[in-house]
Amino acid sequence: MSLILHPRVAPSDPAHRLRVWVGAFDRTTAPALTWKLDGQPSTPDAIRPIASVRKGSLLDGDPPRAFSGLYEFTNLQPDMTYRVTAKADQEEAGLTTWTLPAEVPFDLGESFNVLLVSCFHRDEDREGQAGEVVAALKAQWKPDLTLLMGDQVYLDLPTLQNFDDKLVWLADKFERDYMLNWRGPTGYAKVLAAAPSVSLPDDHEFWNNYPHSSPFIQNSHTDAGRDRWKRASIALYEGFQLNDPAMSGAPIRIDVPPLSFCLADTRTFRDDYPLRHSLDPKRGLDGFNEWVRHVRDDTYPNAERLDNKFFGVFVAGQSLLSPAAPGLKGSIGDRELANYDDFPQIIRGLEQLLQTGRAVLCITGDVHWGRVARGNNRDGRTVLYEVISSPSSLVTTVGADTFKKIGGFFGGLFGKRDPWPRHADAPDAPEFLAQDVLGRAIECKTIHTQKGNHVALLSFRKTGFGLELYITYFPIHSEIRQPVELKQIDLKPQ
Amino acid sequence: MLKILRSDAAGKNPRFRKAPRKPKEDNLAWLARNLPSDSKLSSLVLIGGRSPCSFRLRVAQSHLRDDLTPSHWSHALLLGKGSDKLSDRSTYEISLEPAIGFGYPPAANAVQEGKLSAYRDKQQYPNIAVIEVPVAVAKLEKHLQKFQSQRAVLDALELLVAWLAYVWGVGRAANPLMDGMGIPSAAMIEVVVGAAEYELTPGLASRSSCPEAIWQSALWWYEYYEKAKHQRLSGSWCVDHKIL
Repeated sequence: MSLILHPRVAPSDPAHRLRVWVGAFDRTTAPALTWKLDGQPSTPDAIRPIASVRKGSLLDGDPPRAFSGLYEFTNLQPDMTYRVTAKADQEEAGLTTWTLPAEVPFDLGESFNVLLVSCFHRDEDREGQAGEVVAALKAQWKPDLTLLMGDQVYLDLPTLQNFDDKLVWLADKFERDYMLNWRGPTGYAKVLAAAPSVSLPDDHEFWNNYPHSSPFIQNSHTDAGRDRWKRASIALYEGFQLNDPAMSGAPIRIDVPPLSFCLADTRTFRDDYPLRHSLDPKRGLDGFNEWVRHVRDDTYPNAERLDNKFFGVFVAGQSLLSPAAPGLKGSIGDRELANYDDFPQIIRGLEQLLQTGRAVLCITGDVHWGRVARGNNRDGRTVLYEVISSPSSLVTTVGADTFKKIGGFFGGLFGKRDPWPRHADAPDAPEFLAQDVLGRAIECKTIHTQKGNHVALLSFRKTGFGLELYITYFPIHSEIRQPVELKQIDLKPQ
Repeated sequence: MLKILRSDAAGKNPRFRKAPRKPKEDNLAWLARNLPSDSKLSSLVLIGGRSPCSFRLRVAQSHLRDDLTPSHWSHALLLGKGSDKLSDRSTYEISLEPAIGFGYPPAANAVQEGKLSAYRDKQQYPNIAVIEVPVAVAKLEKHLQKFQSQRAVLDALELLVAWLAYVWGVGRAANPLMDGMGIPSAAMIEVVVGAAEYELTPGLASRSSCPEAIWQSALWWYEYYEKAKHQRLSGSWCVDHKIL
């Protein structure tokens, strides 16, 4: 199959619009597409008309390659399922997807479900378990929306491969990596098909520790090498994952009242040195501040509900709770958001929301373990929750993995078989949120830790004047399939 | 001590007033005088009983009180639609002492439908309060119906069994409130009222609801409702029996 459709979120009006990513592979020209919506001919808006993912200096000649585009159907009904088909030449592709609800539901037994997925290394999931687990989510667990929170591809792997330091070679290699995950019909493509999705990049959409030099990646040791890699990887990110080319760098805002999501790209626009920005200096911080104002001040239309203010959900590729990586660790491992000069501005923005009496939810991936933590203010009121879901398929670490697997094997001989020999245990949350910025204003406590490959589902239902939230972790393991359901969290305005 | 937020209000809710019992007045007569006048809005009733089961429930809720004394309340129930005779007014509840036994409670997620006359006796139930909840009766009944087939939302049977074990002193059964398990009837009411877009206990996790939390909400949290631009809880109460 060379024609592929995946559902994406239409951020501006997700209850009345459907966005579709279309990919056509192994071609030399962009196909002419004809569309149908629920069996009727339709002409969606071209958000980004289908075109070659690789262009100009990323191409040598006219090889068969990937073409992609973004299209949007408008004037639809909220929370409604639609069948979309696209035809190119003699090939037809289809998907069944849905608009988001106009609001989080109140009705008992209903919920607005958000699937959290991050850190997927295809080579460690050759059986396609992640896709199978996600595709099996039915009934009350059916996701309405999927947040892809970084490392949807590992472009810098395999570690021991010699990467040619040429733009065309890199772009070709990255395109093949993306096609393996996006093409389907099995594997990660099932995750992409599960619900309308929206992506954030993390370092492996580029290379380990991007934009900084990584000791294990020779191409990153020179300015010119990093620039070539960056150009190639950004082109592929734009072709496969970027939700809105016109808004690159600005946080993506999605409102499903009373929830307002802000997805901030804290990776693409990072400074190498000095560490000034994690957000895009042109659009990132302004967009974030505008979202803070929106959540703090705006109301959503609802005739019956008088206290119709938003609850903020901040999504980033890394945790806001993680303290800055010290110098030495930062040069070998990754920098944290707290390492960058714009971190205090992000925290000060969130602080405004913490004072509204409506708890803020922070969501991220990145760290290769799952964790739920809460933050209480000095009055003892919970003003912040953080949910981490990572990984869906743990990346290979050459050498160390073999050692850990051997340890797990011998442990099994003595009756202590570790189902996750390569995975780390989640550490407790730091004692305070951003102590360098807020002092000891927000005290953090770990509620739950989750080890191993998984995805997580957040189920929201309006109740009273607020929301209730159920968090469920779904292990991705051949033998462990029992979901881990956490106790309900009340998000009540105070 | 259970984690319950305290209201910032300086005084008690003036619209939740003390209404002493008249001589020889039973609970139905007291309710007849104090039932809210707007029959389209929902009402709930708090009951404080004297039975051993009620005693255990009242003591269990002392952890929600600053002075750790037992609660005045052991039970909460929803009033159904009006009837010509108050004694025939239907009630929706999850009682730990149902007059006609439990039957097979899974079929209705433990919800029992009864008559208000069951709580007539002022000796057995000396404490009584009626609270008007500013939610239309029809809206509440719609969610109540759904609740009975939605154990996934709140498994009231799990609460029922846990509380029966506690009040009967089975094995080492501990106070379920300490595990965030509300008293079944109050927890049911909390979920149903919440689904009807009203917040019954702002200071407590919804699943931990109990009569004492509802009482504190009506008495102290009225400023919260006004800040949220919602009508506050109102009503009347009569406490003739204090354990301490």
